[in-house]
Amino acid sequence: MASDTPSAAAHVFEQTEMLLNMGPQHPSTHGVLRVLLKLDGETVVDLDCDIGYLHRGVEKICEHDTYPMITPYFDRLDYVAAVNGDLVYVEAVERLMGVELPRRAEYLRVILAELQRIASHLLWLATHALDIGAATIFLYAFREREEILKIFENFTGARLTAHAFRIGGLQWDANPEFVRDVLAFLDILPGRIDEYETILSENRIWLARTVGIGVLTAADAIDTGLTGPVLRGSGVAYDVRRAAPYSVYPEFDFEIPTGDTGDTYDRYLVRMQELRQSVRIVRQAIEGLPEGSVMAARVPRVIKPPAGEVFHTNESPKGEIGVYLVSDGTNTPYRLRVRPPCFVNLQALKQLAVGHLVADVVALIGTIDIVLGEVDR
Amino acid sequence: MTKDDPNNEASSESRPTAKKAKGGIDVVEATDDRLVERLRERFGDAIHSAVIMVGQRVVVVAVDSLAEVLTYLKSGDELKFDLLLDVTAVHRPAETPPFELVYQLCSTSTLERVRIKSGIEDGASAQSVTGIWRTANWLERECFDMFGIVFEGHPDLRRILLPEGWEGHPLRKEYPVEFRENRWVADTLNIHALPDDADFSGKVEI
Amino acid sequence: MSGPIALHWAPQAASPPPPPPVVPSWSPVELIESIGVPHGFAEYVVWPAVQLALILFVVLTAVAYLTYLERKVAAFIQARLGPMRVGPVGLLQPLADGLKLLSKEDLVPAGADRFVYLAAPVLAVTAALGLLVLVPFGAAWGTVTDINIGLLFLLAVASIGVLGIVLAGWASNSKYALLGAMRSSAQLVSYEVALGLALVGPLLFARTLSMQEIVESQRFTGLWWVAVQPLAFVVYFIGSLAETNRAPFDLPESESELVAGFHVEYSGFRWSLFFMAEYANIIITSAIAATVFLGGWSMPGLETAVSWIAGTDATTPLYSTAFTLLSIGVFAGKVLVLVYVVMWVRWTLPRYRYDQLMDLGWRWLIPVSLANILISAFAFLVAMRPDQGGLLGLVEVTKNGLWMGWAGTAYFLLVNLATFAMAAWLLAKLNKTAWSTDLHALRRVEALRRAGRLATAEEARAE
Repeated sequence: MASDTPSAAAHVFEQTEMLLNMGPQHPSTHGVLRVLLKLDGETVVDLDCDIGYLHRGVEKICEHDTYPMITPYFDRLDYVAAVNGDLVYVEAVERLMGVELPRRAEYLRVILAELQRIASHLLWLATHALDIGAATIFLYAFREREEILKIFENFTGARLTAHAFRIGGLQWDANPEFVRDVLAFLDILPGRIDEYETILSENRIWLARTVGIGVLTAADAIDTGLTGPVLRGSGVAYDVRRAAPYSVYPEFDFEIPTGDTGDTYDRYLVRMQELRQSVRIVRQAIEGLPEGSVMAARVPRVIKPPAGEVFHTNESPKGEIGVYLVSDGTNTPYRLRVRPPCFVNLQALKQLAVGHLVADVVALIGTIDIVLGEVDR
Repeated sequence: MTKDDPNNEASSESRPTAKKAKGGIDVVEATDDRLVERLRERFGDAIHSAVIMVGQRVVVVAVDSLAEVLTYLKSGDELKFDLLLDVTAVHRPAETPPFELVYQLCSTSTLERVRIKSGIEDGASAQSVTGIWRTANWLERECFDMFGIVFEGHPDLRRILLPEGWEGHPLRKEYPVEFRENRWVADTLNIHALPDDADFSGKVEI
Repeated sequence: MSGPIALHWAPQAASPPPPPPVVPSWSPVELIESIGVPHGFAEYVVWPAVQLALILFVVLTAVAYLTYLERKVAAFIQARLGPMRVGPVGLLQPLADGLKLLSKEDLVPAGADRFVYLAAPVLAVTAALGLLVLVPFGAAWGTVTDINIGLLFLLAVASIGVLGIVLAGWASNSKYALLGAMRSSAQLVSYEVALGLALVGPLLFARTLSMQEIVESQRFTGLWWVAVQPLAFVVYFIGSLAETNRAPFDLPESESELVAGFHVEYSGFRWSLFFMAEYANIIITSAIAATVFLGGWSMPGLETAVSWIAGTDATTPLYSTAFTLLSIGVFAGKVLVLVYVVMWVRWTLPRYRYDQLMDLGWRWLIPVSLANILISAFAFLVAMRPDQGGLLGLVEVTKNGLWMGWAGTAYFLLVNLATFAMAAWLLAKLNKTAWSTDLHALRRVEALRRAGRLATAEEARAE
């Protein structure tokens, strides 16, 4: 209707873009993420993330707590990978203090950290598949994650915020059932991973929903500071366990899976491969588990690292988690900075999502694998 | 942590031993470091100091040439520090300058790491590095949010974790750790002046 | 096309078509008349009212228990138990859910178009339940009424249901609901085409639109039309999933993107009306599939089973009752199997994206159903008796339905198998990128689509 006299109603039709507020209460934003979408039809034209709903000022609180008191805060950063959060913090403090750990402690730490990685990836798979509409895989992945949580509960007393590590080692040694339970779990998991892949990997709808969605080239991914499976999905074989080895990872034989194009499907494949690699590492660690103490011999009662600073990073399931610790020689840190992988990775959402549809946005939030506890700190 | 892996960190030095001087950590002047030599050669006096601490290279740079040094590290002479891991700051009110900007760099190809630090005055602004690494966008926003450090040339410098209109920058040392009522809380959450003897102990009176 | 009869041979000529199958003549109308109700009143008012009351009661209970079944099927697939607490193995769960929903507040969002908002769920559920009057639940008096344009009427009324969804989305004054309603209307309009075209294939064989007569035609020929129209059945089934907003096509209410889509703002009883409409629609589409493709209430051996119970005299009330009840059982069984498959699909597959759904509808299902009609019609024409305008004489059109012997059956099975294979092959060639498992091709296509969408958005902004 090419009319020369614009009416008031015509003005409404001129507005082609719609602002859609997704979150903070939305089932697929994985917490309290708020995404403002500018839509043209269903195409995402622009996007802005509003974060901070879960900001607790952890870095500020840490400046006022003693070193052992800080560890539980790291459980609650990435609360689905509590062990990995703890590990990076205690290692940073130990590194500043120059504490040598008994090998049994290192091995137990690796076992717990890799089990946590499996649990985190399973949770990712569950929620990511649910976002794309495959509801059943959610329950399957949770079934296996439950086994890991039981092992954690047996070891640490907690299921989610498993707090096993102390500065200088572990508080408790593994009880006799631990090795048996872990081995039993390792026996069932590879078959279950095959099961997930049967449901998804060659499913036409799954392919249609993930292949070519949110493509990120290697250069772009590095430029955006991505780490972890998101970076490896783009084909960069960068894994802190190899790039800057910590703990006893150099003693284990494992591969770094990478994708080739950096789309959602590649990131899915990378994580599925990482599950299998983690199984490998845990099996090697369990088989080579040395005897001995789990606490370093000379850890002072009051932890006072010498004045100085250290930036220690680990490979958490989400990416490279880092602790920049500035000590002034007292029993509280002068400054403690967490380098949050989720926060940095979430930044890529805009690049990934523009040009795709609303339905892809939830798939892309899922593929980045964020935990708002760590984004907001 | 117990291992001396040649790939770990800067390959040219070994880890410090567990022995340390009382009250401080061993800080070694980075004298025979190839990277530091190059930087000194190119930027001269702008490189204030270069040390190795806990096996990690720390280079302190003048704030004016910070952006140039970082650009050089990313793209010059095939150094390839292509991954900016972190941008943060430390507040030391007693010192001059009171703020210290900290950049953690890593190379995904050579796996080398370096920490670039730079002192900055309160109220002064630093050059944004968003043009060099896209990832600096949110990291600098957080730094601004928490410390009030302004980054010139940042495309969208506003608060990121705290709400718009919040007063103060929480990670400055003078900011109290306990809750303190402010205008944002009064306006947005409708919580008005707390009594002077407000109890933050968590105990509830019935 | 009464061409040369060079190929004319008629193996069927020796065996004349059999007589039409028995249909019991007694009906409960006689019972009502026997207590003194006038004939017309009994036949057209009292008895249909009784039937409708019964059907509504049964179907609404069935709808409630479909939610229970859905949860149990989901639980079975997902290695868990499902509802177990209310009643034995959770059998009273639908009751508890219903009570809960009835006692909830009926919210109307601020700024909603109040009247339309309140009326939309009623419209949706009325359209769904109104269809029940034409569904041939069973033989003889197992059906309320039968009109000569039954199938057409069903399709027409079914599409009124979409109006309820669109109005609900529009009146809610919510962007999520609006997006859901937009998707829903686009989806239903496109899939209705495929759905309707898929039904034309079996109608070639049934030669009627009346639901009862479609069943009778399959009974007479002794063949379910799914055997001669497999392609149409597949298209119909996929289309019906989309029509009823079921996974993998549950885009209008996709809970992970649009939270709940068009009914996001509804609560309590009005929300449950939408739920009822959804499940009633599943029953209806499954019932149509069972009638048109799977022989409706007919079943080989049905008459034998009835004769064991009630003898062979088709005029007795006992025979009629036994026949009707058994046929209703057969029909319910077929519908239940289809409903189970619908649920099975839902809990197995991920969800399509909006544009992919449209792609599937317009580039796959509609061409396939069109091709199916063409090929089936041609094959049918060729197979007819020469004196009826055909060539091979494998099929004879009698007044009771089609008559084809083993040769005709084999011919149609072969032709349709070939159609199936050919369609799959051809469409795979035509829609190379959409069906390829070549990841590179898929990626390229997706990148092109993304660029195209961005360009469109840019254009729109420039205007």
